[in-house]
Amino acid sequence: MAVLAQLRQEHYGYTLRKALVRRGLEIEESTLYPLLRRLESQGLLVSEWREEDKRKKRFYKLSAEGSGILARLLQEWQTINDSIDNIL
Amino acid sequence: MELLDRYFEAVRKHLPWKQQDDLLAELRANLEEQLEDKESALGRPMTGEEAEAWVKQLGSPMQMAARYQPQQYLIGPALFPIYRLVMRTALLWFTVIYVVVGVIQAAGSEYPGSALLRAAGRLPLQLLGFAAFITLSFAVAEFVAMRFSKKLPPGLPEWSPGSLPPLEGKLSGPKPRTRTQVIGGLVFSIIGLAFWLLLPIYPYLLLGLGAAYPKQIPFEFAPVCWTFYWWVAATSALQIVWRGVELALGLWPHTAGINRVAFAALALIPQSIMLFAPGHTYFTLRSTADSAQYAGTLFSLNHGVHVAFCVIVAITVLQLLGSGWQLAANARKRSMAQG
Repeated sequence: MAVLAQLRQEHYGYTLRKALVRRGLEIEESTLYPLLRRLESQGLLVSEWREEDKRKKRFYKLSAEGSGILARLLQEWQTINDSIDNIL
Repeated sequence: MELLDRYFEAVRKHLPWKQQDDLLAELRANLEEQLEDKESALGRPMTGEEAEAWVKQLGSPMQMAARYQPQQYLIGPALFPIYRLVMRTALLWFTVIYVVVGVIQAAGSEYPGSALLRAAGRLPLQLLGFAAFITLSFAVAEFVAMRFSKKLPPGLPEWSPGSLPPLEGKLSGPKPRTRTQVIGGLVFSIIGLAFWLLLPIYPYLLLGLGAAYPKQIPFEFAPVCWTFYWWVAATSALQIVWRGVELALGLWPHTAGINRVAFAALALIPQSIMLFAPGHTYFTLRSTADSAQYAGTLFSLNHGVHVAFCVIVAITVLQLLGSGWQLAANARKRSMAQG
């Protein structure tokens, strides 16, 4: 969910990792980079190869289907969060 | 950095070959930029030890590559309960059949004691081979299901609470079957029939190295045994079709009692063929020249098989009567409950 939310803005693997770390979510390279491919194969992300700083990079962003799924995930997460808050 | 290049090459070996270049190009771009950031933060190139520590925390090349691939199972969680059930049942039946065949073979041999011991010694290896055969069948099923699941027609009907079996104790008779048991029964029947059909061509499936042994003994199967063989195959095929229909139409929660009666009645057909075999002759001598030497053994062998079938038929008839009685009693209870 964090990856999908962060990819509302376009990122490539390394900048995405840095952005997540800045927000307090440490995620291993061997987890994040393959995850991007899996999310793309599920249709939740779209990607393209582009050159930036003399290096070809694969940029990812949320697809239309991914936006819908993210909205549902956020709603579910919010509901669970509210319930836990009530219990605590 | 040479260490990083070596890491990429090691990862490449474990990636699917069609995607190797694409995946590695992306991984290289990300990790090289990360390396540049690290070195610019340090204000110097990384030392050998620092580089090694960084590459180590990326995970082994095999781990890194494995995460780019879908989760793989030899037998996945959906099939595993069925696999376990089939394996348990099949190994039990295999042992029973093996023991029966071993005893018959031993009876026809010159030294029954040592023949029995040899057969017992071969059993563990045979069980292992049979278990491998079942495991391989399930691994193929898993592979096909994973690879072609989107192309396969929708298989099992959706679960419905209405299909739940009646509570135990309300009705007498066999325990209600679970879906896993029904699927397990179907798979077991298919494997069993395949095994049965392959036996005459590949007798080592059951006898292993002892497959050459029956050719050396002076007896051979009488024609009635082949009639029995084909009847068993036909009734097994019929059971498979019926189990498939049960599963496809969702009938299985309600048919356990009927199945017991029907399958017992079906089993009586090949059993009766053996019981009423002309002259109770199941084995004959390969050569009439041996008749003086083996006539006694042959008589004992045929008599033993006949007695065995008398017992088997008696048990089946009792099962048939018991199941029929339960079925009738349950039908009466249901009609009384419905008023």
